[in-house]
Amino acid sequence: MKRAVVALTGLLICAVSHAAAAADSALPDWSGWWTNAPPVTEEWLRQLPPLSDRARASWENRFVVNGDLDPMRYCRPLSFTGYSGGFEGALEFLFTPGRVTMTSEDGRIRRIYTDGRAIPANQDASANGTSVGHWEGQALIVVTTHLDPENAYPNSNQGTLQIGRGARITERITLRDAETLVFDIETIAPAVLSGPDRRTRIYKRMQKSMAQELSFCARNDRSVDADGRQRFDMTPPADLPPPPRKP
Amino acid sequence: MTKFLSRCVLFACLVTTAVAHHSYAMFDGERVMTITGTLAKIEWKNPHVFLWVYVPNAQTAGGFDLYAFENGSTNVLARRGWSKDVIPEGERVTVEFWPLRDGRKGGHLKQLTRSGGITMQGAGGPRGLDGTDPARQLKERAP
Repeated sequence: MKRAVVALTGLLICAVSHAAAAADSALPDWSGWWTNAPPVTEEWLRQLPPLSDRARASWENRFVVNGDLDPMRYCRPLSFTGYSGGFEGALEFLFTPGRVTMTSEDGRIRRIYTDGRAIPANQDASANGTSVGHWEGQALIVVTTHLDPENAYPNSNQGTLQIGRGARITERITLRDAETLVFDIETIAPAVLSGPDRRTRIYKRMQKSMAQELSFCARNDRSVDADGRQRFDMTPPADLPPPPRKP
Repeated sequence: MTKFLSRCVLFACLVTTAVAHHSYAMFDGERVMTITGTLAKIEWKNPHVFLWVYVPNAQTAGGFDLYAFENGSTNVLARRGWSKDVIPEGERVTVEFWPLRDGRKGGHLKQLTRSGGITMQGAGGPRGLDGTDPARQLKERAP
């Protein structure tokens, strides 16, 4: 009897493993790095978000009053407000059983649970929020909630507006062709938007590209001080070659 | 009209925030200057690559001025054909740039032309991704 139970358990484990492997093998090929095209600015030019009057006034006023927009943004934790790569970062996907992990070259990590779990009602807010997803054929549907209300909107590493409470972002991600990944994004953010903002973002696969870390930290920036004030540091690098002989 | 201006301001904000890790207020986006000199060094680092160029000036003791040019981030530039050693030190280059408002010798690189005539686009700067005026772009596209 004991042997039979062990054998049956083994068979069950094998069956589950095979099922998981089969499910994984059915997943689309999203390997490599993906960069957005066209630039997000172009996208926004074509389709501005339905900002509430208050948000629009705040944004415009901030731009007029403070030319530096938000001096404290440097080295702030990266956060998600609808653009997984920020405004210019490339993306990468990692598939593991029951989860998709999305990273960007600037170090953002989004953990998307695809094992059927629900988001706990008492989940804490966080910079990248909490994401659950499911596959509809070859399309990944992702719902993200519990975003930190102080997340900068629309750009995650630049201070403009704050996304506020109650934000919910739904993404449908699918291949248009082997080299083109399409994000259909719906953003509901009652604090800044008068209605849902729906837009499509296109990413292109970067052929043979290796990841290169991208850091926005002010520590290395000749253009700002560590406290965020602007400068333009013209101290030559220590290893600057000497000038050519006098002409 | 109000709506149009509002869209201009919004887009200007976006262009600025899209590619800047700081504002570009220190650069004069209304003027493009050009210098020719020898490349001293490409300082290849994030968030901004810097280029250093010796420009002949008979009025100075050493016979050269040292210019500093801010450029985009390594990743964005790499996607435009740049690398840390794409141009050998000592090569003659011509740089178009938006100058610093304070008059120092430098600015934000707009475009560089190598000695062989190859042109390389910079990234970022006070005029947006492609160096054009975002307000004018918007106006041209307005229905």
